Amino acid sequence: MTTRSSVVIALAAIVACTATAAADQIVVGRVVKTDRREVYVNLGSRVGVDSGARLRLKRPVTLRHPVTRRPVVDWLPLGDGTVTDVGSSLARIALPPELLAQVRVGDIAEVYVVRDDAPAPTPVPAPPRPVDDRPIPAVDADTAEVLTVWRATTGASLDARVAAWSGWLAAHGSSRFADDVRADLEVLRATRLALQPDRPGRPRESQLHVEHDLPTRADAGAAVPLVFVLAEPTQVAAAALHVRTAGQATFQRVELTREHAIYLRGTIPATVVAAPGVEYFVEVIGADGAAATAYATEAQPARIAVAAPAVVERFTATRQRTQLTMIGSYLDFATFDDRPGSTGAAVDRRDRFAEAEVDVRYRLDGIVRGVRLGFGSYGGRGGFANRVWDDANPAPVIGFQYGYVESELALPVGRGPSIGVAGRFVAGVGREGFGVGVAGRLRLGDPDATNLSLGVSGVQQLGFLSDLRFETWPRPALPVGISVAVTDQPGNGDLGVRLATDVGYRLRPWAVRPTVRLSAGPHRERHAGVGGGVGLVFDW
Amino acid sequence: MTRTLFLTCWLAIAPAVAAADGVRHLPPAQADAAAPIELTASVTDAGARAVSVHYRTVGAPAWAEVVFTRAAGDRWIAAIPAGAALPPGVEYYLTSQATVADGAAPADVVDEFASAARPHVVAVRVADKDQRRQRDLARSGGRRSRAHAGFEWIDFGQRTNAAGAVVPDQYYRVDLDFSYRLLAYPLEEIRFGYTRLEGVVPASDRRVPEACTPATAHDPACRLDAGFKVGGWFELGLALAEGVRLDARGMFTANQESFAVGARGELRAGVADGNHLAVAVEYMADVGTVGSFRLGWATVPRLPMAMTVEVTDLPSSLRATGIRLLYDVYYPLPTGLRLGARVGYAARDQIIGGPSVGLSASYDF
Repeated sequence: MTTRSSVVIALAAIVACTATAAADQIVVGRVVKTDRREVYVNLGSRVGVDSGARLRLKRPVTLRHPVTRRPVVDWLPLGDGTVTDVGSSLARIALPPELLAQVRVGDIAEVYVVRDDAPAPTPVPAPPRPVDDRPIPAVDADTAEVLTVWRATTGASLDARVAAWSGWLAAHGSSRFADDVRADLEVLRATRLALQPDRPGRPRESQLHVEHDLPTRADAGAAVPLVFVLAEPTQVAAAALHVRTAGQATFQRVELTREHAIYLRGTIPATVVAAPGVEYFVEVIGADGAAATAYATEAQPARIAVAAPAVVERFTATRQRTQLTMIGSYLDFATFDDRPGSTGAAVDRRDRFAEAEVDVRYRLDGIVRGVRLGFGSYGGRGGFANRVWDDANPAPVIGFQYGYVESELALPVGRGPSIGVAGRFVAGVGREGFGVGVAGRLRLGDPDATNLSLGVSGVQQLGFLSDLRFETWPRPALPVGISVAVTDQPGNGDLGVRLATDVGYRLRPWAVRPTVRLSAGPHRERHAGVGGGVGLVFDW
Repeated sequence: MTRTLFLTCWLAIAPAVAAADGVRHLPPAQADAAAPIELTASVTDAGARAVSVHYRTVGAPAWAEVVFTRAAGDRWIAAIPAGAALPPGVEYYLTSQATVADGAAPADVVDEFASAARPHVVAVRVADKDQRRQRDLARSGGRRSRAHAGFEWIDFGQRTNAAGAVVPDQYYRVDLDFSYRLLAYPLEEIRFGYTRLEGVVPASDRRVPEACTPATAHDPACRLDAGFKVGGWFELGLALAEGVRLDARGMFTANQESFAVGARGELRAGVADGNHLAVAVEYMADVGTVGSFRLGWATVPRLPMAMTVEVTDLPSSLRATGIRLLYDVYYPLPTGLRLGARVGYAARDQIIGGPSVGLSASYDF
């Protein structure tokens, strides 16, 4: 059969199907109420509807014309019901349970009313139309085929529409209309699913079989080309591959391209191919318009094993993984402490410290977010708010040189800001020899973006420190950190508060970032002072 | 009626749905490297045409062709040679050409499966261990052997007492070793080497004994010679997984008085010459113990670096535990030569400390 003869037959059929009876009447109403057992329509005896009459239900739907893309109002047949009770303007309709679940308020209801006592009105002759002798616009073959499918599916069931457009798409994947048709198909499929609330799976199983050699394994991040060979090619109009990473809840649809009549070819996207495996099944649209699975099923998909990336992959030498930080700061707790001694003379109440740190942070993917290793040196004098130092009682000197190792874990939280927990081990030497310490930090938010963290540390010979720190980027190149700390440093002295503000400026993305710190440290109301610091951050 | 109409239209506009008329081929899902890939096809009208496979290794510029031959019944086979079956895969398509009478013009070549413009790709796989071996060799530039030499000078500072006796706390270390990458997993590498470690320390844990004077500062009661002249060792590099490595070393040391034993273990994640984390413990009888944590990174182009925090009582187990903070930078050359420099700081308390410096060179071949 040639294409031309098919089109002629199709057009003839359309004309035949759309011819209406001249005598009796089709009354059209709407579903106005749905119940668990029946529905009500706004048609009654006033328009000739009788009990026992058959009624047809349709769903109005707005589609887009495949060529002009203008909205076109069409309808989808839902099914038939029977009028059980009739009032003057309402009728109660009994429907099969499956149809009852689909019908909703606003659907179209049509009843064919036979009027024995009312002869059909004599048709009024239509006024003669002016003869339009303009030539019919010529369209290219591609457009003509799209229009043919469009006309053929007007008023057809959803299954028929999906089958027709899927088939067209399989054979015309490179057409300029393909993208639009693909989008329209998604709408039709979604509508079909919505009409099947109790059957989210495939409509039916069938024997539409394909041959396929299942790969046993694949490499993560590499697309997997697949071929399926149709056993009964004439029974299949189109097919799709449904793929997902094993463990995911939903499948992703991939159109299978039909080639040489019997082959279905498609590719599992690289993004889906990840450990522990990738799962898939094949859905086909039969020539009868019904969908069916042809290879594996949604419940029991085929599976290709994908090995988890090796540990070494986490250490790939990519940029932006390493951050080098150098910072030095000084804080004097007694800058403003001018309290005189018991004799009224000025006295030495010095209470200050300085520290410098160099550390490297290595960013990792996965649950271990990063590892940090650093060196530090800490020196201070004093440590007490109300003590007076002199030659007989000099201010104690505290010093500690140390190295530390820190690891931050990203806790697996489903939503909200990311949560990280960091632990640090400190080892160093002070005036009393070797000493160790530990520190912990709980962080809400990305360590490289806005975050709030709470830290606690305790180091032998130095003392403890707990702080609350907020970091943010009010401008893309302007990081700001604000912290408040409570500490007995230096040297296990009196408790004091340390306030600090860090302001940085990123000179280039992922490059050098100088930072300035201003700090204040009240030990007591009269024993307080200020300090500052500078830092440099390199992101490699 | 609608369904009938739809089918009528569908059959009219989609000639591709017509049944295949002769060649039917089920592509293999994957293939083994360096082995022929056998393709089968059923050809129902085999006498009327010749069926061929056109293939090439992915990335190769030219297509090669093999004609199908009859195996049994309507089953025909063709084999893509082992030489073309290389990772990541082989791409191919099938064509047929109708046979014609002698002297007649040759018939058109018809695509039967896939096409030159859109060939089918069969993934070619190698065994997991082979694949891993290839990756490891790629990281080392295909070189399996390494000769390495390292020298380091460590100074914990000079100690004095009230009497003015001065005794240094310092040592040097020389390491010479050779390693060979066996890549016979889990045994990844073997290594053997020589170490010399000698130093001088005060004869107490931290300070110079109070009884010492400048005149007696060189006496054994005040100053000890520490370390050993000859230490030989053998190390196994066990790859627990790709990127996770445990180095286990056994050591014998000899000084002027006796033999002693030692051991070293390092657990490392990542790439030894690149980004990695490592924790290590080394013990040498009489000499001391070292625990270290190292972070290496290769994110600066051409200059891999490492930082190490070391807790140690070397060169004598009599000494107090101190800490060393080390920074390494390397400069690898394309020839396989890799130069390294180390600077650091060592201290047993906050009062006195000293520098560490070192140089190293290794050559891969």
